[in-house]
Amino acid sequence: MKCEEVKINIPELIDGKLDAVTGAKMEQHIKGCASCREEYNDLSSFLKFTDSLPEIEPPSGMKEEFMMMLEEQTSSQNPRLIILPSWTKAAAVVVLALGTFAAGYFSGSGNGQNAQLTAEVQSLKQQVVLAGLKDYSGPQKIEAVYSAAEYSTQSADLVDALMYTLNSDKNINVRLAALNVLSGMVSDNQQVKSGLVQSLLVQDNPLVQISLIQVLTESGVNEAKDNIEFIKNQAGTDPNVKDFAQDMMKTII
Amino acid sequence: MKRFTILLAVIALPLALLSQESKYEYTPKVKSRILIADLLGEINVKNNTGNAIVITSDIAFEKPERAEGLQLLGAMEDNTGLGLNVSEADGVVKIVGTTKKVKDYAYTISVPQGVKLSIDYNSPFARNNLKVDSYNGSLEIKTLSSNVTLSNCTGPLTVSSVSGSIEAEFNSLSQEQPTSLATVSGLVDITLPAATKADIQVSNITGDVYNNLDLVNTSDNEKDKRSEGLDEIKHRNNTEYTLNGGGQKLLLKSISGNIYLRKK
Ligand SMILES: [Zn+2]
Repeated sequence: MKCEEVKINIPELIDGKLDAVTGAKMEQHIKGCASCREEYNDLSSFLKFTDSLPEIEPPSGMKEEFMMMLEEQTSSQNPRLIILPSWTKAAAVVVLALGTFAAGYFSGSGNGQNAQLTAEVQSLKQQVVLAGLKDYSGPQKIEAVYSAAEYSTQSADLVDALMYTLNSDKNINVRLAALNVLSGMVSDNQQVKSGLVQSLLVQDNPLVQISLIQVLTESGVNEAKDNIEFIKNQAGTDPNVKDFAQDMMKTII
Repeated sequence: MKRFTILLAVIALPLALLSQESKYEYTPKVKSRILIADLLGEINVKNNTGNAIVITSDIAFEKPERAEGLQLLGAMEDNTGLGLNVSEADGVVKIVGTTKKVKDYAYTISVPQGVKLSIDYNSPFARNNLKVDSYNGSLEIKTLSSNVTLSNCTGPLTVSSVSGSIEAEFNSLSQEQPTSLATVSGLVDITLPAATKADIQVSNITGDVYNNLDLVNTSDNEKDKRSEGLDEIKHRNNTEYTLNGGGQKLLLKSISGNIYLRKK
């Protein structure tokens, strides 16, 4: 099996939609091929993240809007993006925005959609993963996170983009940057508040876990109590995180 | 003590005679990104002015006699002779250890200037430290317990660790993109030229911060009228400073370790 063939079918493999023979061939190849294995891992962790999101029913017209956003990504002349200082930043921000838009959309696309749309969505998933995780370096993404916050108003799109970065970026420092920006919005934005509480369940890095617990407890988000308790009691949790969670639980009423 | 020294000499001498450097060179088709992963040995990284990635190592790994005629199960092919697999796809060159045994050896990896480099050292079996010297260019490092030491660097960098310490001595701070250094329980120690322009964000929870740079505190402690004359009790977890009027972001974080900021 060739790499191209394998890569195209990775979403189907993860969803268990391939016949047994093809599936086995794919797995065989992925075991031996670092490039395909990385793509497989990227996509599975991305899907794990989207699965963790609450179900959202996609509003009508979403598909059109989605395709428009894709076009925006390819044409750099979009007025919404020109406010950003350089094309790198602009491109990175679009990737971030597109990423979450996609995430929110996919999570609701499970029931009754037509096959063609599903296929489109599947290949977009891949594009999003590749664009988000491969093409930009950690420092570039941190730059994008801060400039997105600086140059955009506090829109739902921006919050989505930052939340996506916090929950799925491979680079821990990039996740911390997204959390940093989000922590400035937590006190008066319900979307940020519930997003951060939800995020506790998907983080597995101790740095991000502790920082997230700190932001939530210091901002007095009492709704975070159950999820902090959950992290604290989870078997694999780092002892530093357990201790910190234990201490900070005391500040939650 | 004397006996120990002699003992050491007796053991070390034949080892030094035995060990010889092996070398591998690879010229990337696309000069874009390099990813080093699952390489558990000691890693030293530096720049070169050529176009090739040059790897040298003291590796002397041999298959156990019993394994004659057998293949290492589940492992990638060692196509370098150094216990490593080097491959290139989609503009990314991957350098991957093919056996856990590489942890006993040291690798020096010299990378063409201007290539973005990521090192994933986030394995519980990686007990060695990472040293980066005179590296100009974008660098991303992730470790679990290994210490990271960067000398003569410029950034932009991202380094994250759980229990490892991060030491970085800058020649200058890249103004292109932010630099971010973060660890849970290790220390963070940075040295900057006195004239560096930067916006420095320091965040810590239980550790202390020591400094001799001319930092200006810019954290907004906006107060309303009612709170005038009263001290603020709840403070934000990040303190922001400018250095020489401000510049690119330098983000420093240690949860329980100390943070040191030094003037070069
Ligand atoms: Zn492949």
